[in-house]
Amino acid sequence: LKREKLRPWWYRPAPRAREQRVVRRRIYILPTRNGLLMVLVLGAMLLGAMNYGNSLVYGLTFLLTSVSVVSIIHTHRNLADLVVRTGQSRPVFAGEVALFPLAVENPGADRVAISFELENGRTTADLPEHSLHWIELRRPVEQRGWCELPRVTITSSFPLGLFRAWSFLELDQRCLVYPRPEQNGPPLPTGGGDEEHWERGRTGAGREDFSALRDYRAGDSLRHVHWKALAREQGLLTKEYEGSGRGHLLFEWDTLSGLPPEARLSRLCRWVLLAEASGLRYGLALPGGRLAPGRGESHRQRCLEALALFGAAP
Amino acid sequence: MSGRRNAPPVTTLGSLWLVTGLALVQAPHLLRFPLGLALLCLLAMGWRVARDLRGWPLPPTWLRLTLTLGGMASVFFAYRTLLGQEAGVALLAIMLGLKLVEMTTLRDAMVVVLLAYFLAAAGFLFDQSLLAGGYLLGTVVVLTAALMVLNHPGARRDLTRDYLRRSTSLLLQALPLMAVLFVFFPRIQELGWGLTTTPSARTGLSGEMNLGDVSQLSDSREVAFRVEFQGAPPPAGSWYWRGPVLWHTDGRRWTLLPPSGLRELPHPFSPRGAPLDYTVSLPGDTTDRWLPALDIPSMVPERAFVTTDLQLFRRDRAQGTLRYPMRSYPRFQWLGLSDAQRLEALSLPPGSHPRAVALGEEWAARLPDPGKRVAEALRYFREGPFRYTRRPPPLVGDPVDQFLFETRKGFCEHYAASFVVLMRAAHLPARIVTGYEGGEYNPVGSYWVVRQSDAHAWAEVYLEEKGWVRVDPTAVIPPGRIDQDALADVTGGREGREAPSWIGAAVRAGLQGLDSVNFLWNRWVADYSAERQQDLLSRFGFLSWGAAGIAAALLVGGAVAVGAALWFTGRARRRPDPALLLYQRFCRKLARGGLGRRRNEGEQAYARRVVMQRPDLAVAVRTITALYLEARYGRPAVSLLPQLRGAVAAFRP
Repeated sequence: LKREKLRPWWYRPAPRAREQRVVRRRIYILPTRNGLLMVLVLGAMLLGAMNYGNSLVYGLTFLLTSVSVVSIIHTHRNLADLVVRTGQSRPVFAGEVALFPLAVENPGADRVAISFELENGRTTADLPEHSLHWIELRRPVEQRGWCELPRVTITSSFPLGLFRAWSFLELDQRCLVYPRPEQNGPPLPTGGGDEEHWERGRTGAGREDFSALRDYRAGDSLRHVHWKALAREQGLLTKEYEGSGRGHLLFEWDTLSGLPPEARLSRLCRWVLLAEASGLRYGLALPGGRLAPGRGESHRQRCLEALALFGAAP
Repeated sequence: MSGRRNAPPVTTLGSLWLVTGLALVQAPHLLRFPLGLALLCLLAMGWRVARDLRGWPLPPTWLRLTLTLGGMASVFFAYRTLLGQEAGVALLAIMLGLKLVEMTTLRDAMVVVLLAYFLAAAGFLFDQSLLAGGYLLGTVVVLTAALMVLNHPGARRDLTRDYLRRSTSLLLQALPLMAVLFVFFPRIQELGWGLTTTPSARTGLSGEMNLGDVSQLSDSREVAFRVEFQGAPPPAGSWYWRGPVLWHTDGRRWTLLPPSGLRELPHPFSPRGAPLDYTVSLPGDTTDRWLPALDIPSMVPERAFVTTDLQLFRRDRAQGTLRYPMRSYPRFQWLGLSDAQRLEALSLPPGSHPRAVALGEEWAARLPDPGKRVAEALRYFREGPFRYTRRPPPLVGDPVDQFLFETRKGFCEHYAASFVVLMRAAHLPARIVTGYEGGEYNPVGSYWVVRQSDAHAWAEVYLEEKGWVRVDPTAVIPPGRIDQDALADVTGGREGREAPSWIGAAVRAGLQGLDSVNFLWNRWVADYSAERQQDLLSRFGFLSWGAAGIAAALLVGGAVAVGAALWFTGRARRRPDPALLLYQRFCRKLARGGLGRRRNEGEQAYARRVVMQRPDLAVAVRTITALYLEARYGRPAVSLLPQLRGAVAAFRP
């Protein structure tokens, strides 16, 4: 934040938003290394023209000078007026790579070799005229919690590589990072531990209760699609059901008192994943609150989210 | 080094473009290089192509080093230096070629392109013709396209035309700014840092004549110079363009007077009749020291000097075309001959051409009137019978005697030299004048062209009461005794000897049009020098403001030119989406029926509203809306525009 204050007024980025247009007055442009080399070459050509009094060498020197100058306009125009919107980031586990999908809309003529840079790398794309293009920025994450999309530098040095134009995108996008699941940890605390965690389920055996509707996701069983909603033009919805397990597990923060907090979260995370994979019903008890036992994708997400955001300001 | 390892590599496609551009730039240079150097450059470029297309490995370091050193050595042995114009260009070309077989990164490739631009500019040091200008402009288009490919990570082979189109339009957009810089950027006289070396000389006026050595006359149709007359052109028979004046002979070789004899002030001549005003333009590649002028020049161009026998010499031999205004008096009286000059103009090498000397002395004894002696000599040539041919037999013995009494076949040099020998033997001071005779009118550009094949030699005789008189002994040969091949050569054409005359006329008109384009090119582009700039700027009043005026012109002109470029680039970009245009047409059709699209109404909502009110249109409206949305926002595998266009056209609400 301090660095922001030190920036000159003309170099301050726009406030964060879910959609940003590359505004002309926020596009900066400077010669590249090759641009400086071009200046040297043009200088040498000019000296040659003077030495020989050769009008055509003058002419070529001036032509290339003009081409370089006009290429500034092209490089600038290459970025101007692009609109970048944030997409939905899928949550990842710490230690993985967070993906930030961005929709880039090109409202004008085609753009060539537009790069989106983060500190750790870049993605380059060509944008045909009047098109919408999805790109994905990748960022390795180590810490659980919300990972904000850092400032993105949108940049291009097309057509000639003599000048580089860039602008900053402060996009309001974040990716949820679950704790890193513990490797080779202890198995699920089934039975062997405190018997009271092994409770009977509330609901009768063998019956699956409809609990909620959510947006259809690729991979959902077609049997669970809410066809009546589709017929009412409400889009594809999937019905969720409360689990059918015989009993359930409750993973408790307090039972892991020997471990540092992050390690406890890692172990809880591992258990959640294992339990879900084994088709068990499970619940979570954290100092901040409890998650009633359940099962299924959305329950898993709620649990992981609780672990990811544990201790964070609400 | 770590930066180099991280640097992005050069793509195969970019490398191929680069080799193409470099080959185009090098081609005209390679033609001039010694064979070994040219082959080395071709080898390097070929190796690169083989690597890009066949995956050959690049040559190992030791081989590259050997080639580099070998290239430098052969440049040195070919030109005896590594500096200077020709050697420097050869060195640059070799190094660029060898850089190709070691470049791996994008950065290397960019350096090669930028230096290739420099090599292209160096091409103008050797050839400033319109053709060279057009060719090198073409290579710049390709090089610029290569830069684009290199800077486009997603470059594709099928976009070749696209890159060339982009590169051409970039160059076109740069033209206004280039024109401003070209006209207004302050030119200075050649700096002359000693880097200038004269390129190999070509045929022209040499200032000496070797009788019988060269048994062929230049047939070159190359332009020697061009002339624009301010008034009417001179009458036929007085188109003698004065060049070197030859006084001294050793019997075979004729030379100029030594500088000591030339440095006297010219003898005054009295003009008779009206002057001729005209402007002479020498092409840029001329190396002649003489500035041709019609007999008799009465002024000295800038940066030139005149000798006592009225030769105009240029002081500097800078490159570039030269234009100078000139005034001549076709009719004149030129009296005055110093004793030293009289001695020189009468001297013959002792013992040479005995038969010619005997003939001349016989005339001197028989004819007391000097004018009669001149007439007698011309009668002798006319009735000889002498023949005019541009390919005379070689003269091995005493050239003058052999020509006058044995072969009797020759061209202007033989006639002029023999005539001057005869006149000197007859005790009349005489000298040879070489230069050009004639001129060909170019109606397209309304100027006259004098070609290398118009080179001529004639004589001047000093008569006591008339002064120097021009006598052209070649002119007295009757047309019947002029060889046909000579006629063909002189009239310049194989064209149309048998072809119908309109073809000849068309060819001639085409050639004249081409020459006038060349002339304009030389005059306004190749010849745009410091002086012409001053001339132009002062004509428009810029110079009265001094340096500030030029700076202001540069700034304002530059701003306007950049604005023009902005406008051009912007115009290309404001082309709206064709799908949107079609959809708008669809909306207009509906609006005519009272179903216009509301402001801020989404396409889907609009379609639903239309279908509610006009269920009969449901299919068409839904189809068009779906096609439009997919064409505009989707990423269809094939273009949906034709379908959309058809659907909108067929839509009748």
